[in-house]
Amino acid sequence: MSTSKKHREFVGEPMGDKPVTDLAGIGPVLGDRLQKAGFNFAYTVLGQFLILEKNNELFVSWIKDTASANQKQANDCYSCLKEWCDSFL
Amino acid sequence: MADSIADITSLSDAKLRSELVRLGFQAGPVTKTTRSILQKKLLKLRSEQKKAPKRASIAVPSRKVLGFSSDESENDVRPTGTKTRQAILRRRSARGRLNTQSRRKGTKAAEESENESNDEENVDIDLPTSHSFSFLNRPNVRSKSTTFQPNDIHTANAQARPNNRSGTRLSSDYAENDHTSRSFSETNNKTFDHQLPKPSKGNSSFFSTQRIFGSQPANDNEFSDSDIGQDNEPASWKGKKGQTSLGLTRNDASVYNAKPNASNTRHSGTGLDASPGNVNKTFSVANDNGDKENDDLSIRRRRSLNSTPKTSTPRKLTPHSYDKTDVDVSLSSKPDRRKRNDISNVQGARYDNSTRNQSHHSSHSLLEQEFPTEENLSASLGSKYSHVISTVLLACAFIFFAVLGVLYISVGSEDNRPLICDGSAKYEQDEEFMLKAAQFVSDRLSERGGLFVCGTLDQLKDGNMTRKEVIQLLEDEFVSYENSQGNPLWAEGILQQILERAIEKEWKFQMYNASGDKITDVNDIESTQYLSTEHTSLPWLCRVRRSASLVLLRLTVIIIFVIFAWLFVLYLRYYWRTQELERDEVLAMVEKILDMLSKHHRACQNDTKNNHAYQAIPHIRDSIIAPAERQKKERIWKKAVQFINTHESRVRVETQRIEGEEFQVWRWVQASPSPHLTSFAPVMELEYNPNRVKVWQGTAFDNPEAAVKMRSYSPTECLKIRNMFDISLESSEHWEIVIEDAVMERCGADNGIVHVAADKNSTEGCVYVKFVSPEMAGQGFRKLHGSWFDGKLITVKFLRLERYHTRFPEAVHALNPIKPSNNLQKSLSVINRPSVGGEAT
Repeated sequence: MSTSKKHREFVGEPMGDKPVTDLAGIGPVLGDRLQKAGFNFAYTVLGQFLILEKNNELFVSWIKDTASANQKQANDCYSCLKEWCDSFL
Repeated sequence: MADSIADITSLSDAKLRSELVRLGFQAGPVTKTTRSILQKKLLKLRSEQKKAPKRASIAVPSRKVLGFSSDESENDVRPTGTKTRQAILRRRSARGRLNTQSRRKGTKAAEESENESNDEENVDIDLPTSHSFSFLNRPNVRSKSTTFQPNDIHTANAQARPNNRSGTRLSSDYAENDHTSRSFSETNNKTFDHQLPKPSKGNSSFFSTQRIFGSQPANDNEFSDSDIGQDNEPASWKGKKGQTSLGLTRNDASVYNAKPNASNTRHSGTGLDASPGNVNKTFSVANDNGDKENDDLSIRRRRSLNSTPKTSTPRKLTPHSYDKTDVDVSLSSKPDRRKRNDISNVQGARYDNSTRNQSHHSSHSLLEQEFPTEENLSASLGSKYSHVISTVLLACAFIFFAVLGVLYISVGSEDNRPLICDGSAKYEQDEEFMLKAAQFVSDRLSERGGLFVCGTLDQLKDGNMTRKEVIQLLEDEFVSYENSQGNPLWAEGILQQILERAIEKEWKFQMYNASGDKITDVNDIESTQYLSTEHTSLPWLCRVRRSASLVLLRLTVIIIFVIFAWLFVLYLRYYWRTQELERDEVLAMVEKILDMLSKHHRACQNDTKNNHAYQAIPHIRDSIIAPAERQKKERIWKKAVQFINTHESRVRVETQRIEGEEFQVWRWVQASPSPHLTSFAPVMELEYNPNRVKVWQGTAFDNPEAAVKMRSYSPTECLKIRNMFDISLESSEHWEIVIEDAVMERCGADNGIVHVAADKNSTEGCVYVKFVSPEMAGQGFRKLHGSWFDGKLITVKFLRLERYHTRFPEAVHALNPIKPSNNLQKSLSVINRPSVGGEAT
């Protein structure tokens, strides 16, 4: 499966202060919801991701709960963060 | 479910986590944000766990079973494994029958019930047959032995079982025969027939070997009756199967005991009645060995079996406590090493039992208890071996050295064998003298040989002594010897004796007759003319000389070799150096050619009227290489031409007609005469004109996003632009304003620039820009970075706001976008310069 441009861009460089919407699978709508939930930056989501021990199942269900994401969006976001962690952590 | 949710929500964070861990989930920290997720997870795990016990009967064994032989797990995994006991029984009995009753087909339940009354006995026998068959056949299949001694079976079993290959095969046979009820596999049949050439007379439906196992028909019935009185017939055969499998677990004992019977019955064919007792005994022995519980359980099992219908509806496996006793019994009854064997058998038996016993749902814990036990057993097997291994290794090493020592000693003793020895005390004084004489003769011979080898004595023609010489020597030496007085021939007699002894005892000197043949027979001693020895003793000087010459010879050889090697290395080095030099020269030549071509190309571009855009190869050569050197540089030139033809993409080889003659020509084909490249060549007259208009000359990259690793976000609103100007060349008034205007113009109308400053002191030509927002800065970054300005490549980087403010305090309050000083947009105008042909955006 080829990854999206957004995914590649996110995974290709340090996260910096990127907004949540830069995460793969997180569009403006989901980004808005996440920001309302207090996740203003991609790194906050990363923090949650890490606190859930990079567990696919948990993270996916979390993002589904928090941002009402669908399965694909959640998986995109997960794999994006996973890959980022694999290369930068 | 609802109360469990409430239960979970009321848990504390730590409790929640510990609960998750208890259920085998490694949870991370429980925080405000993760709590709900983890609660869900716990809920899920709990519901799974609730379901688990129903599935556990399959799931757990299959997991644990992995520690056992492959065939067992196969059984577990196989769908047939979940079938009822009847199905398996039917399968087996069918298999047995197929063997025995000329491969009669029919494994259907209907047929079974139909045949039940008739076949009851057969079934009883057949069932064990399949087991005994597996046991009995296995050794044969492996070892191909035609004789069928109990011992063989025992050992073969012990050997064959551990690796379980035959077991696996048999189980696969099961699988094959399951539904299709095909005949046995070829090998099995063959071996089976091989072993048992004739069917027993009493019952043609099975072979005598079937009885070997000890489950004779009559016997079986008795057996089951004695065990469980209330068993009715159809039930009894089921029960008996259980029994057989029980017997299987103790296969060693039962097979053992039954074996003599088997051999008897096989030949007589009437031993039907003889064996039962024996078999019974083995079983009862086994039972005695086991717990009492075993009996109880077996009875219980049978009862449950009685109640089970014979349909082959699939049921779940439910291992039960009986298994455990089974295992224990079998293990306790076999203290010897064949544990694997046992375990796999046990497993088979247990499996049977488990399939049989649907009604007995044992607790999960019992199962768990049981499996670890077996695993431990198999593990202890490994540790046992590993313990032995070290000792075995040590022993091996010791034996090795011992053998080595013995060999060495024996070799040494052989070497130490004296040249002349006597070795026994039976010789008398005379003998003693003779030995002395022999030693003397040998010494003289050795000396003589040595002298000959050294060549010190010219008159010596060879290293031998004639018989006469030897006699003379003996006489001279032992002239005072008492026995010699008055006997002129005594020396000859002595010599005779010496020679005889020499041949007998293989002393190290040889005798030759007149014609030079070696004498090896005692009878030919008379004809001895010459004596010699291989064991020459050289004089000291001679020895030194010889060894010195040897050493010298070797040294010379080594030195010669070294010299050759060194020369070779030198040559290699020289070769490499010349190669390198030549390559450099070729490259220099290539450079020259390219230079010339590109110059010519440029000249052609400037005025295209009279010049061709190509140049003939010979012409280039003649213009590059002086006439005197042409001969010498022929090679290099050729290589350069070759190089250009193969490796230079900007030059194309063509054939052109020049002045009516065809030449190979080179054409400079630079794909795009890009303005960027030409802008590298300094345009001096413009450069030194301070009043020239500085312009943007396009971007260095067609696709800056791809060429430069652009950040997709902008960290700050400040940019530092480098290489905008060369401070040493700026002489005009207000040049910095021009530069600043250029930056603003480049960024476009709504650039959002609030502050811009050219650093007049910087040697790098730095310009600092502050934008309204980081986004605007990002846009500016993309516009400016990697573009050409006045023949300079611009690089941009982000600057931290604080640093910008420390440098330009006035910029703190600059919040409104500023405009260029004029609207002429001079920097964006295109100059009519050929080098700036294609101005990109």
